[in-house]
Parts: sequence; C-alpha cells; structure tokens
Amino acid sequence: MKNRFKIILIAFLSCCLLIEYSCTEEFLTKEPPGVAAGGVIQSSAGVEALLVGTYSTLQGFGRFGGDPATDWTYGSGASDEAYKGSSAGDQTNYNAVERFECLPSNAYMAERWRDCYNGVARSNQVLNFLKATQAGANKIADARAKQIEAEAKFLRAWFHFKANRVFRNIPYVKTEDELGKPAIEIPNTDAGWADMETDIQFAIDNLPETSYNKEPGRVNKYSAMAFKAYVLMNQNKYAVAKPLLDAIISSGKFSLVSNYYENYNEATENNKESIFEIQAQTSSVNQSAMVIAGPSMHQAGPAAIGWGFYQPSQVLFESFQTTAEGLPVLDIAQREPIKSDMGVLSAAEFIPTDHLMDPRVDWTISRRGIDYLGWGICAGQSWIREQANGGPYMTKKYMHLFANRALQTFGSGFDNNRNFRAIRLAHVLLWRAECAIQDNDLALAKDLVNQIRTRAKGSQVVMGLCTTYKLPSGVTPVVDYTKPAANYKVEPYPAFASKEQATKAVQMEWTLEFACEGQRFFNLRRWGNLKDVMNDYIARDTKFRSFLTGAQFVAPKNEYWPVPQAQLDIQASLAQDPNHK
Amino acid sequence: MEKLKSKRYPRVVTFLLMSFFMAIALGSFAQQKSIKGEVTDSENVPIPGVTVLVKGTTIGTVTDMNGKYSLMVPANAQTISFSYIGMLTQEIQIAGKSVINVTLLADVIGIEEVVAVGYATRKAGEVTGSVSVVQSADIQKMQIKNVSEALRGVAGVTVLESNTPGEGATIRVRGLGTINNNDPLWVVDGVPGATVNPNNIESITILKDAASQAIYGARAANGVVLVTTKSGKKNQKAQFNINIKSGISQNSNYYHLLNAQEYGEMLWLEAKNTTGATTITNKIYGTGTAPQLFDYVYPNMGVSGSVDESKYDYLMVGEDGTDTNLITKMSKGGTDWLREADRNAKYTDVAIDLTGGSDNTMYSFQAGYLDQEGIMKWTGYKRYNLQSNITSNVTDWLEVGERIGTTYSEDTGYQTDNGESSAISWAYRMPPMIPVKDIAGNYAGTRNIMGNAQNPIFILDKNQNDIRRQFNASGNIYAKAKILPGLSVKTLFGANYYSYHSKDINYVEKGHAERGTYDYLYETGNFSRQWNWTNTIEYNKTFGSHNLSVIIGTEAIDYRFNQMYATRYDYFLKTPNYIQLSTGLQGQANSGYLTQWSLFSEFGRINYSYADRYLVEAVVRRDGSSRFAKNYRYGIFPAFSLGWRISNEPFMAGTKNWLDAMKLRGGWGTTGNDQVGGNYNSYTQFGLHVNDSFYGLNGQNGSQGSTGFYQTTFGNENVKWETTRTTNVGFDATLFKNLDVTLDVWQRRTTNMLFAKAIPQVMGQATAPSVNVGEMLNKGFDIAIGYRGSALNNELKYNVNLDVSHYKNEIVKLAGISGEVLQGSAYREQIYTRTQKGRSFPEFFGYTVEGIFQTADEAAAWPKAFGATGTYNKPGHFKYKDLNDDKVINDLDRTYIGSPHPDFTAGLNLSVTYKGFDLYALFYTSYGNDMVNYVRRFTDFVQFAGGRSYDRLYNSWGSPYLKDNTKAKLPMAESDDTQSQVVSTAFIEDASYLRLKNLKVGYDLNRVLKTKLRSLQIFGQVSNLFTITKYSGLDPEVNIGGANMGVDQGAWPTPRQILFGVNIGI
Repeated sequence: MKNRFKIILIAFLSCCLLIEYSCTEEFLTKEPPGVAAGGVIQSSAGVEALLVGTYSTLQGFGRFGGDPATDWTYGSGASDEAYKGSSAGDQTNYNAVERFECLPSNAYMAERWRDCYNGVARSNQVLNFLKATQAGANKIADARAKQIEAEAKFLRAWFHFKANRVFRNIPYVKTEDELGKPAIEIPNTDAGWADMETDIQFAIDNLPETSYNKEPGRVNKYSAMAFKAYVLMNQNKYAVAKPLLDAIISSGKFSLVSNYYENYNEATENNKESIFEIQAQTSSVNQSAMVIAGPSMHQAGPAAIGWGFYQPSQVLFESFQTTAEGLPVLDIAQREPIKSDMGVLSAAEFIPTDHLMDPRVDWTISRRGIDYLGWGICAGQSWIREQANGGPYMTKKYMHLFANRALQTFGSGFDNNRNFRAIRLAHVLLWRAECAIQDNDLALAKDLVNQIRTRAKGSQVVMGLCTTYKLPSGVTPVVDYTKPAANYKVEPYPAFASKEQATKAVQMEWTLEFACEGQRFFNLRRWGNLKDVMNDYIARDTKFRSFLTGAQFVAPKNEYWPVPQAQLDIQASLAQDPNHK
Repeated sequence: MEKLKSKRYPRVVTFLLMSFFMAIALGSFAQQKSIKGEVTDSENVPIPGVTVLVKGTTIGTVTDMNGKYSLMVPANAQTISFSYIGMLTQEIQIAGKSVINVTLLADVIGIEEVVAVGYATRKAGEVTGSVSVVQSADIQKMQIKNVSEALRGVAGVTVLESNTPGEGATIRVRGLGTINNNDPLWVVDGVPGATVNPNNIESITILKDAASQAIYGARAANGVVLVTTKSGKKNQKAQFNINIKSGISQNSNYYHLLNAQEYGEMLWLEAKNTTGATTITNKIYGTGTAPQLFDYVYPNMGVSGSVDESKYDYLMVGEDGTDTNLITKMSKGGTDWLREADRNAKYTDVAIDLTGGSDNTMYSFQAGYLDQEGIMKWTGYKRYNLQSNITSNVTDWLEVGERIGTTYSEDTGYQTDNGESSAISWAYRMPPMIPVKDIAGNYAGTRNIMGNAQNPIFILDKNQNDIRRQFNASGNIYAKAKILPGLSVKTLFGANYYSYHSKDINYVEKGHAERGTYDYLYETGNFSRQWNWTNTIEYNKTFGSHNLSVIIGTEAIDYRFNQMYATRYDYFLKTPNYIQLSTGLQGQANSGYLTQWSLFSEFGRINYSYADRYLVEAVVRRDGSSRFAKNYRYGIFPAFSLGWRISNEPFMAGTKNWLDAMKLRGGWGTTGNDQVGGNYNSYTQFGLHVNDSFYGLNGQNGSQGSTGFYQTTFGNENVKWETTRTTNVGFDATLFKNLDVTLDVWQRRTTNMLFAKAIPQVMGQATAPSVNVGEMLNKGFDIAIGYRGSALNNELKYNVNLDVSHYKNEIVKLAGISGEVLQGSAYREQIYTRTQKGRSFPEFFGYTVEGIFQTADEAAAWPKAFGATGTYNKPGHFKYKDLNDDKVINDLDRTYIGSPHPDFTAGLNLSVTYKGFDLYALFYTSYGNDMVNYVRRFTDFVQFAGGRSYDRLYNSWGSPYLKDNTKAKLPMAESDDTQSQVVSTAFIEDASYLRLKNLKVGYDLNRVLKTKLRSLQIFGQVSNLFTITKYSGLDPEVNIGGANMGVDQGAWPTPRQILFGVNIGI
C-alpha cells in the first residue's frame, strides 16, 4: 500500500516535470498586449494611421523649450516683443534664452531638437511603411500612395524647417533607403535648405488642390506652395518666391477675413484666409492641443487658471501707437512713451492711455482697464503673477473668448481648441510686399500692406470703455460697452516715399499683424536687423524692468542656439555650431 | 553566521527534521527495556521535541509536548543522548536506571541553529555563504511596526524608511548592484514576491552573497530575504498570545521660516538689492519705503480701508457665481503651515496568535489589526490580517501542509511624499500672510494673493476620503514525501494574489492660484496574480565522517498584472458618497493595461562536509525568462563555497578554553537580475494615444480627432541577463563563550548591466531599449560583534550587538562611450545627480561655491560667470570655482560635489534583563553621506512666492540685520537671481546622523501578580527619541533610491513615537 502510494507519487511528479519541460517555450513567450507590430502597420489603414500620428506632432510636446507649433520661446520670447513672464524662478532655462546665455547643456535645446526630430522620424516611418506596403500584396492605390508620400514629405520638411530656425546647421534626415545609410551618420553641415525644397516640391507636384477627403487639417498643393515660399523668403530668395506667392494670391482660393480677430477665434477656424493651420481639438477625454493656452493665461482674475507666462513687452505695446493719420511710428526713437500700470496697485488709480492706438493692440495684448476677451475688465497688477519680473501685460492670442468657454470640453480648460494659423494669406501678402520692394515696385508694396491695414480698419474693435480707474478686487467697474475700449485709429498708407520707408513699413506691419505669433526673432534675422534691434531693446527694456540688465546680443553667435550637448555626446556625426564652442 | 537572535531558537524546523528521522528509525528494532523521563530547561520548563537517542544506534524518540518521553532500548544499551538544537547535548549513562530526567542547558554559542537557505534549511554551522538571520524573539524584543525595521540591525543591509502611514522602506543589500531595480527578492514561505506582516514572522534570513543567493538565480542579484511564518510545534499545548500596543506619534521637526512681517521686510530687501529702489509697491504690502500689514490680503490688497464682507462669494462662473470673491484677512502673525497641518497621531496594534500541535499535526493561527494615523492630518492606515499555517503528517512518510495569509488594508488621505506637492512641501511653499481660512471659514489660498502653492490643510482635509484598499492573499500548499531513507521529494504550489482599488477625489481648491474648474474622480483598480510551482528532491546521507546533502528542483512562475483606470469630472453634488464614476457628468475616460512575465527554472545544490570540519557547497540554477527574446532566454548561475571549521580541528584543542568556535568561509558565484527594462524590452511596439498620436484632421472642435499610430518603443532582441559575480570571504568566531564575531569582506561585479542607451533623437522619440553594456563594481565589508554578559549573580543579563557595514559602489562602464554620463531627473530644470565611469551611482554634480564676493573689485577680477559674456559676478553673489582654470565659469567647471552613499552605517543594539525588567535600545548611524537640500531652493532663493527662510532675511549678504557680510550664509536676496540656484555645493549638506531609533522598557508583571497566565509583560517604547545631525532639513533620512538618491524635496519626517503595550500569553 505504502509503496503503491510512493510509486503513484513519483509518477505524478515525473509527469509534472515532463509537462513543465514540454511547454517551456510556450510558457516563456509573453507578447506585449495592446500594441501593434510591424505586420499590422504594413497596410493601408496602418500607413494612414502613422501619417495621422505624424501630423499630431505638429503641436509639439514641450510647452516651453520644444514648442514647435507657435515658436513662442524662440520667435517671440527671445525677441523684443515679449518676455517669458511669470516669476523669475520659474522655467529658469527660459531666462537663459531671453538673456542670450544659453549653454549647450540647456534643457530647452534638447527639447526643441527632440520635438523637431520626433516629427522627422515619424514622417520617415510613414515613408518606410508605405514602401513596404507597396512592395506587398495589399497595395494602396497608386494615386493615394503618391499623396501619402507627398504629405509625409511636406511634414518632414516642416519639422526640419522648425529645427533650422533654432539651430544653424542641421542634419537632414531621410529614410535609410533614401540615404543609403543610417540616420545617425548624417552630419549637420548646412541648414538643409536644398533637401527641404526638394521635399516640398515633391509635395507641390503630388498634392491635390483640395485636401484629401476635404479634411482641412491636411496639407494640400497650396499649403505646400506657401511653405516653399516661406522657406525661400527665409533665404531671401525673393525672385524664386515671387511666382509662388503670385500663384497663391491669384488662385482666388484665399481672401482676408473681414475681422482681424477671426484669425484667432475658435469659431472661425480653417477659414478662407487660412493656408496652413495647425489643428487643436479638445474633447472631454483628450487634449490634442497646442499646449500653450495654460502657460499664457492670467494667473489671477476671472479667466485665470494659467501660469502667467508670455507677457508682451513695453516696446511692443508702444509700437501700436498711431499718429493722427492712423499710421504707425516707424522709427522707434520717434515713438512717444506710453504709460503703463507697472508698479501701480490695482486698488490705486490708473487711467489707461488715450493715445491713438492701432486696434489690433487690444486683440494682442491684455492690459489694465480693457476687457479681456469677455472675461472682464483687466484689473492690472492683481491679475499679473509678478509684475516686477514680467511687466504689466499678458497676451490674448492663445486664450479663448469667454463666449467660447463652452467649446473647451477638456475639463480643466487649461488646454483649449485654438488652432494656430501657421500660414495665412496675410503672411503671403507681406512676403509679396517684400518682393515688390526688392523690385522697387513701391506702389504694389503699399497696396499689399494696405490690404492688411484696411482689413484692420474695418475690423471689429474691442468694445467697452471703462471709467472706473481704481480696480480693487470685488469692485464692479463702470463700463460702456457701446464705446470702443480705447482710442483706436488705423489707416492705410497714402504712399511709400522711399524704398527705405517701404521696408520699414512692411517690417512694422509684420509686428502689428503678427505680434506674439513666433515670427519676430526670425524676421529680424532674415532682415539682418537682429543685433541692432536687440541691443537697442535691451537698453530700453532695462529702464522698464531689471530682468535684462547686463544682457547682450552678440552676432553671429546669438542668431542661433547651440546644438544640445546630449545629442553631440551620442551622435558622432553632429558638430556644434562653431559660434557656440 | 551573524547572530541577531535570542538564545531560544526556532524549534519547529528542527523538530520536523528530527521527527522524520525518528519516524523511520522507529520502524525496526527489538524492544527490550523501557526508559522514561522528562526533559526540562534550566527554568524547569518542559522542552518538547528533544531527540532522545541510544548512542551508537538509530533507536530513539522525541519528547512530547510536556517534555516527557519513553523509550524501549536494547538490553546492551549504555548511553542515552539528549539533543536539541540550541541546547548542549547531554549524554547520560543508563546504568540500570529506568527513569532519567534531564535538564538541558542552553548552548550559548547557538551555532547549531537551523537557517533557511532557500528550498531547504541548514544548520548554521554548516553554512558557507554569507547569511544573516533575524528571529521572532528579536522582532518581539524590538516591537517593530514594519518588517523593514527588523532588517535595520543587520550588517550589510541599509534601510531608508518612508514615514507615511503603512508605507514600507527602500531596502538595499550590500550597496547597489545595478543602475536598474535594486530591490531584493522577498520569498515568504516559498512564495516569491509575497508580503508579510511583522507579527507573523518566525524568522527572516537574508542571503547576502552569491554563494547563498545563487539558488534563486536570475532574481537574486539584489539579495534575497527569506521569511518563514510562525508555526506550531509538535505535541505543544495550545498557546494563546495577545500583544497590544498603542501610542502616539508626533512631528518634532520644523523649518525656520519668516512670519508675515518679516516676509514683507524680505520683499523690500529684495527690491532694494535688485533695483536699488527703496520705495516700492507690492500688491499685498502696499506702497512705501517699508511693508505695511493691512487688514485684508484680498480684496483691497495693499491698501487700508474697509471691505464690504457681505459681498463674499464662493461660487465660480458656471456655478452661477461671478467667479468668487474670497474675502480673506491677513494673517498678521503669520501662519505656521506645517504646525497647522500636522498633529499627534494615534497608533494601535493588536496581534493575536494561537499555536499548538499534536502528535501528527501542528498549527498556527494569527490575526492582527493595525490602526496607524499619519502625522499629517487626516491620513491613516488600517490593516487587518489573518494567517493560518497547518502541517500534518498524514502517514509516517508523507507530510502535507499549508501556509496562507491574507491582508486587507485601507490607506487613507493625502500621502504624497518627497515631492514638490507633498503636504510637507505645500507647507513650506505657502506664504505666511495667508490665513488657513477666509472670512467665511472656507480654506484660504494663494489665488489673487501670492504664489502658486496649495493650502496644505485644504489638501489634507479634502483628500481625507481618498482611500486605497489593498487585499493580498498569499500562501502555499505542499506535500513532502520520504521515499527512501534520506531521500525526500516535495512539491509546493504557491500563489500570490493582490488587488488594489483606489478612489481619489480631487476637489477644486477655489482659493488656489492655479485651480481647475471641476471636481475630478479617479479610480484605479489593479489586480495581480502569481503562481509558482516548485518541485524538489532532497537527499541526505552520512557515511562515516562524510556528510552529503543534495537538492535538485524545478520551479515555474507565472505573473500577470492588470490595471483599469477610469475618471470623470463635473459633479452635481460634492459629497464623497455622491461622487462615483457613474455620476460624473463629463470626461468619461478610461484606460487600462496588462503586463505579464514568466520564469522557468531548474536548480540544484550539493553540500558535502567532512568530519564537521571541511564544508563544500556547489549551487547551480538555470533560469528561462519571458523577458528576453528566444536566443537569450536562458541563463545559468553557478556558485561555489567552502567552509573550514578550524575550531573543530584536533590541533586547535589547545584553544578550547577561549575559542569556542571558529569558521572560515569563502564563496564565489553568479546571480542575475531580470527586473530590468520592463517585460517587453525585446519587442518594437507601435501604439496610439489620444494626446500623442491623434490629430484633428476634420477641424471639428470638441472631437477626438483622427486615430493615429506611432512607434512607442524600440525593441532589442539581443538582450540578456545582467550578471553579478560575487566573491565573499568571512569568518565566524565565538570567543570566551560570550563574544561572537562575524566578518565578511565582499565584492560584487555586475556585468552586462542593462542600460537604456540613449538613441540619437534623429531616430525618433520612442523609448530606447535596454542593452547589455554596463558594468558596476561594489566592494565592502560587514562586521557584526555580539557580546553576552551577566552580572549580579546572573540576575542582570545583557547583550550588546554592534554591526557595521561599508560599501563602495563604482560604475566601471556604461555604454563605453567616452564622456558619457547617466543623469538623474530634472527638478525644476536642474539635475542634481549623475554618474559616470569611475563614480558611484549616483553622486551629486555641480559647481563649487568658494564663498561670496565681498567687493566689486573682487567680483570683477574673478573669472566670468556664466560664460564669457556672463553678468553674474557681483558683490553678494556666489564665487563659483573656476575648476579648469580657463578664466571663465561654465558647464565645464562642474564636478562631483558630494555623495549620498554613507562611508558606513552602523547599528548598536543593547538589551538588558534584570529581575523581570528588560530594556532594549537600538542606535543607528549613517556616517559620511551627503544630501541635496532641494527645499532650500524654495525657501532660501526665489523659486515661486512662498515660504522663505529665516536666513534669507537675517543672514543673507547685505541684510540690514547682518553686521558682517563676510559671515553671510546666503547670497544677496534678490527678486530675480536664479543663477545662484544652479546646482552647487551650496545645496549639498552633510547628512550624517546618529539616532536612537528605539528604546523599549518592559516588565514581567507575573513576577508581582503571580497570575496563571503563561506570560504577562508590559512595555513602553519610544522611537526616534533623538537624532544628532548637522543636516538642516527636516530629516536626514529620506526614502529615495535609484538615480535620484539623496535628493530631499520635502519628505515626511521621521516622527517621534511613544507606545505602551502589553503582551499576554495564555
């Protein structure tokens, strides 16, 4: 009996061991759940999904150092039009960007590089899988395949363009098939313009005039043409850009919207002025957003749940002043100082300026005594995070209207639906005006600029004249909403007296029309004005607040930022910008 | 064998082994004469389970639960031996006696203790690896609240405790073997990865070197902690124990921050230092040459005048309010936020256990209840546990048993620790002029006032209904059969089930500057289950002086973890009970994931000893893991060790009068670590994410957008195990019968260290795979010295145990690229820790501050900071060292400026018994370790508006309170100086400390009451009575490991705890 038990037991255990051995391989194979592997992606649906995934990187991940959508850090914060804002101790890497003291180890450099090349890599992944799919049995229809390739190449060029705005020389990374070697072996010897133009030309040649599926978020032939013009203008290749710009203008597909603010309103997105618009959507479960609304919201006041970054400069504010003729004062030295509420308590009296102003100022800058997008009259200092550091203003271009708050379906409201019009007809008109000046066609330049000014003149202005000058919290200000909020005047130019005046006027119009849209630093650079303007600005601004004290813009060093050290460390083919060594 | 144990050792295992031998032996002999008697200890307490053997035969028996035995012996039998592990064996001549009563004396050397060594037990004297043991009696003596406390006094083990209620600790065995997971493997009753409650523990064995660890192969490189739970003893009357302790904990550590008036002065000082202005405007303190304290901080900020309090409004836009008017008076005296947020916390712990056994069956049942409040308000932890262990000899050759424990716990309140949003951090980040509550009794906050901190009392109060419920059931059932003499087989099936459910309601703090709009609910459910099936065959044989013991086995483990997560927001009612997933009006989002791994292993161990003097052990384990791709799935981990019991050598006979035992040990072996790179490192993965890969192609606001995919990870099929080779030599000695010395010197070298080697970003952003590139070296020694003494005619007995541990950790190689570094996390854009070849993992890295500039000339003459065009240098600023002497201060002037690794740690425990009194004290010291006091970036410098340190006003350069600027502790207080905040020696502090961790005094009440109770002991205990340290933060011990070790961001400090308890035995 006892032995029988033992035999049974031994037999049982032996079986156990055998079972364990026989299924070891199966037992030890655990595939990752909920993810797709190569084979699944290698299909029409898979490639299209990868393409969507590439578009999604247009918005970028980094709110600060990355920021490939709006360029607020490098295009605006680093220029004379805006401050980082918030408090000095917040986002200290940004302080170095503003003060032109970036070292290669600054984390912002790494974030920018990451966000740009993430988009590049996703574009290349689309091309890789497209090629593999077309080599297989379940091919995508040839016509669509070409379009996919064109969309991917547009995006690839776009991300490289975003990289070369910040870094002087970049590696232009294509698929290993195209390059014949791995991406990591590509050096950064130039700005990548030639490759960029080739990719964009492919897009122009192969994209339809109306986006695939009529989806406004997709690029089409015109967005590619405008992008190519953008790239050419950045190289000051006016003659080559001109026919592209003309083709866009004369296509009849685009026209200026009647109200300036429609370019910022969520209710009027993808409108007739828009040529390439970066989409943002929030639903109750996601925020596929530009990640800039939160930083640039007021920290206090009724609209406030933000961090109080992105504060327009006093220099920018003053540039909106107009003469009795409704024209800007082109020479900065001739501008009148316009008082601000810097250092004034909200409870103390402050009467906003009655100087004539371009009405676009109050769609751009939030200032004391003026209605803030329907959220209430801005009370000045009590709404600002740290006035002594970031000045008395906030930008309005990324926050949503009070009337649109119901559209913000992502719970916190911190990330909103606001698209970013990366290229709209107004850009094209001003580029074309610059070309006209090169051709000495001052009349055409004037007409083009005046189209924009006339639209500004005909646009709705910010309404609500506030006559309560002490705004402690809890006080209900007296506001006459039938009256404009300030003394506005904007008129077209009668004529440009000289090429020099025309140049200044066009450049000024860029500021007035596109302030706080990430353009300013790069425009100054292509115009060759960076060093003079920035050092003049530093001198002016240090009289207003202390932050830039001692800062200095050194050319050519500070025209670009250093390549991130962490990438140099791990990619032997990269070289640091010699100016930053 | 290090000893940290009582003189009475665990009898159960011995008893089991002995009873088997006996059971077999009893089968066959001729009965000729009857002898009986009783065996007691020196206090006349009967000892069950004593082996009674006729010398030179296998004839014998064991004593019953009353210590009685009776035995038939052959007529020619001469001598009977009585042996019991931990007692001195006695041999008695029969000489015609039929009743032999014996009193066994404790073997104070205790070298015959039995220890768990993984899948089997061994006599302590035969152990050749480096092993430490903690026994239940030690645990009882320490009255620990957490298992990790029991490990604190073990040489070679470092413990960093967390002070949030119910939370565990970071435990490291002999330094850090890898840049990856360094947690040791816990094996509870043969179930890997299980958890245990302190009251259930019979013994803990810590396997410290590869020779002892290798039997756990690929998961052993970080050390193995083997826990055996309590069980009954054969023939033992039911024993019922009740242990109750209760007391309070309180915080005794506070930051020295400015009050409301001083804060204003500090703002004026900042303004003067920054711009030279003496008249300034501040939105709280008004306009003027000095700050003023007004009645309100909101509204009428910065001005005096009455406020119409009837206009108070607590409703926001969307709640039919006008976005609030939270009228708030100034806290003119200043709010001391941490004192408002903390409290005296109650503690109650009740443990009951019942153990006993009959001839064939032994049992142990335990129940426990713990109610621990946190020192921050409205936090707490409750735990209920049950354990049942039964072992039964079904037949004389078959033993079956089960050990099953269940634990249910509820962890409540806001317990975020060591981060910028811990309640501790919010307390130092809140400015002092804000009161706790506004005029209507709602919580006041930073909104419209100053800074961006959250009111810690709000956070604690409004999260008090947050609850994290955990349930764990783990245990095993097993059968062990003796097939032939010396040969047994065992099969064990273990399971470990864990479930976790958290309900987390985030209320909008309307007074917060960066508040949200809606109340959110987050619910998380986690489920994990693991089973293991372990089969072993064990063979023991003695041939003359040769002793052989062999075990071989297989083990399969399968693990699966599931998570479900759901959230909603916007609730009609705000009561916690109303707020459920189904009642949220918006944001119906959910997510979940699954992860799995499996392991299949074969292992074997051979022990051979000759003449009790020469010991040899060889171990090998082959592991196969699902974590690695097919070609690299299997790893083989061998180990060898030798022991020489010199004191048993004949030539040592002359030393017997002073040297009781001495053993030399040496071992070498390899172990692995598979806790690396996640479960799916070998797979390239594509995934989707609404935020990261969706895009609104359709242009419709409010929609989710088109579905997009992206590559989430790069796979690496060529990854294999991290392998750690350990060499250990040591000796154990006992001198003069009362002095135990154990010394181990060891080295661990980890090769093929998995490292997520950075992929150049031109390849994309997907997570880089781990590759086998790194190498790490640890060297160290552990010393344990124990002394047992007595005085006053043996009435006073005392034990002193000292253990000292040292390790030196060094990265030998990362990926092998020159100049390559591995950095810790960025804290507000500054990275404090890094490592590279030749350095420890991690060390602190930054600039060296050589003082503060006193004059403009001095500043002008100094190398420019930062960069050639830098403008930092000026009087009152830090003088950063130009390390490379290139006349400019930049990144290249940073170096390693401190280390979180201690030069040594030591524990000294002292126990004294005298006439029913017993005293136990544990001192613990960590010496030579530095800490980054990250909190000072907030309190000594400008980060955000928030609490500021006393030194910033009184001891900063240029302070009107400071007579001599050369004595300044801080640079000039300025509103925009961020460059003094770069990582530098200014933030590194010596965090060495000496702490009286535990002081306990107990008394045996039975001595005066003479009750019928088996025992009646009362005790009082104080934990953390004092700490001696120079560290300026709240606590020099911060529970943070890995790449950010040593960064103090505001951790819950170690509280002082006072407990009283009673221990009743029936």
